[in-house]
Amino acid sequence: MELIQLTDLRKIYTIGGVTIEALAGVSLDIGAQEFVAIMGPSGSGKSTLMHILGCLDSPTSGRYMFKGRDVSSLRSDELAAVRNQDMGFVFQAYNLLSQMSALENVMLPLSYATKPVRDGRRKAEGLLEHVGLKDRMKNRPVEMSGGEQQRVAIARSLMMDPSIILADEPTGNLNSKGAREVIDILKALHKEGKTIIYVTHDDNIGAQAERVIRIRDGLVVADEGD
Amino acid sequence: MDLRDSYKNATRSIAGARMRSFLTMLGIIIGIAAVILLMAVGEGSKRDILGQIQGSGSGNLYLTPGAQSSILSGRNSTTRDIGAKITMDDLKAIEARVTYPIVVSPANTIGITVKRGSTTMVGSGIFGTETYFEVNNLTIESGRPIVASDVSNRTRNVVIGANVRTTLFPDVSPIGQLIRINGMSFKVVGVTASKGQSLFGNSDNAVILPLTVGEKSFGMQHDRISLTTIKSVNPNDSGAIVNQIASILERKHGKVDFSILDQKALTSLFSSTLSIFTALLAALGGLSLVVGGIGIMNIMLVSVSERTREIGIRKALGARERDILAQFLIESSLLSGIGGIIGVVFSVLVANLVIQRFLPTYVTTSSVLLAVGFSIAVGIFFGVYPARKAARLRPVEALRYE
Repeated sequence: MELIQLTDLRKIYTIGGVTIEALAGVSLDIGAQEFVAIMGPSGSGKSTLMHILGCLDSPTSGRYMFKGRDVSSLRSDELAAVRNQDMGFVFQAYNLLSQMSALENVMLPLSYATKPVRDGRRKAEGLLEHVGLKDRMKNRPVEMSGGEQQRVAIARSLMMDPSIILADEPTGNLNSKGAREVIDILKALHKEGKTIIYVTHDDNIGAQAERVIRIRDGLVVADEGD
Repeated sequence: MDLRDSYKNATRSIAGARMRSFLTMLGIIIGIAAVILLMAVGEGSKRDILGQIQGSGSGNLYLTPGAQSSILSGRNSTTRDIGAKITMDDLKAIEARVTYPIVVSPANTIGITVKRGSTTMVGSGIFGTETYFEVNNLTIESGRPIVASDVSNRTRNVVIGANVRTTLFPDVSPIGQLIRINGMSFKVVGVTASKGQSLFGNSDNAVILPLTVGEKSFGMQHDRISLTTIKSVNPNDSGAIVNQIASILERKHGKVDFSILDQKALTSLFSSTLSIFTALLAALGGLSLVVGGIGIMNIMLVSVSERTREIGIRKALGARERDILAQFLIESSLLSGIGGIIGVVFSVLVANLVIQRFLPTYVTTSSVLLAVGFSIAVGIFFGVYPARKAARLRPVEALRYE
């Protein structure tokens, strides 16, 4: 069974009386343990697709089967539970909470856990160690470089042992060294068996994935595996 | 999200914007202080006045013309009973027919100017009889009181209060000296001991004149007695005496155009009036608490829009609507709760250390509980709208917010 099955997925926005079809009927399958890059120019609908995949947004029509369950019409609290348990997010702007330390940021998903997590603190410390930030646990985001912040965000995305890591332009705000580190960590996670989907418009970053899905005008225009 | 986490988040957010949190709380602090202090003044005056009623002599009955309690309005009669009057003849009938031992003391009071040499003071002139002193618990410090012959002979003898004495006669004995009241000459025969403020005025600032002099020299009708105090020698008789007086006067006048208040009725009358007064003051304070609540709502709305991105992040990590709702409600009720506690401490100190010097104040436990309860309710009530607004944000839009 595929992890993700999208059938004729559409997303239509109306902004100021203008109707925009961000997704115009996307159908695709993504299996467990795949390493996928979604690529496309800005405005192509790749971010919208990412948001729907991550249960941050609902499609206007079409069906989204996640782990064999139709999530396209879940209520907001049910979607929140799916995000907490199954989705690990990495954003372009890191999206850490500035008033919290690195460790507290990594532990934040525990606050909303619907199932108990044992030894959450030790686990968070282990994750930070894993991304090479053993000595930065007490630091707050402002005291860290962009690359370090993004690694904290990756550690946070792993906190609840999600089914997928969803990364939206994870290297977009980083210099080449930071980008390299982030891609290396994602690759290492893939080797450990994680399913990873990331959005990028950078061909070099996209080329790191095993499968590249190209989006244009809300449609899949190419789907290439290695 | 468990409560301890929420509480920690809320304190962190409040501490993160100290100045803003303090200013927001200030609205609540002032509101709480207004409620507690106004209620303390109301309650203090109530206790003070009720204390004066208790001290005015137990077993005293107050008879006034007019079918309503004209004592409260301070006028001789109500507008409804403009013709109603209590006469000396009525009082003679009462003295003759009431079967319990009583002392009847008629009195009329006007404002007067008292002058000796170049010193002038304003006070009240009480036109009474020889029974006035006994009935009102007034003692003579020097000289003698007004006696029956002063009343029957219309002599121009007066007894002055303690303050009148110290003002007009700072260094000589006043006994036998002449003073001028509203331009007419009177002889001082006695001085009363200081008694302080009482229900019907301050006898220390008064000059007591024979009742009959009022008619002769001040153009008053001595047959219209504005306030008659009737002392029941045995306080337990007062209920029965009220009934007897009522039936005597009703038969004599042919209608009920008079009021009789005993101490108990007076206490309950004042007590209920003063409770309304206190409640009004509390409502006034409550208004400023509501204004403080609007301040909280305002700042929580700012906080929600400033933290839209944070809300988006939390939602992406799995926060449900009720988690976000709880987070902001705890923050707003914590703001108002802390403000409430500061307000209570502040107002108890101010009531007892400052206002106490000028006004009788009394902080009741119920006013403190009311104020704190109301402040937390205000925090929750005015926090609901911003918190719901935050909770209902769509995760995508919240994350996109710059």
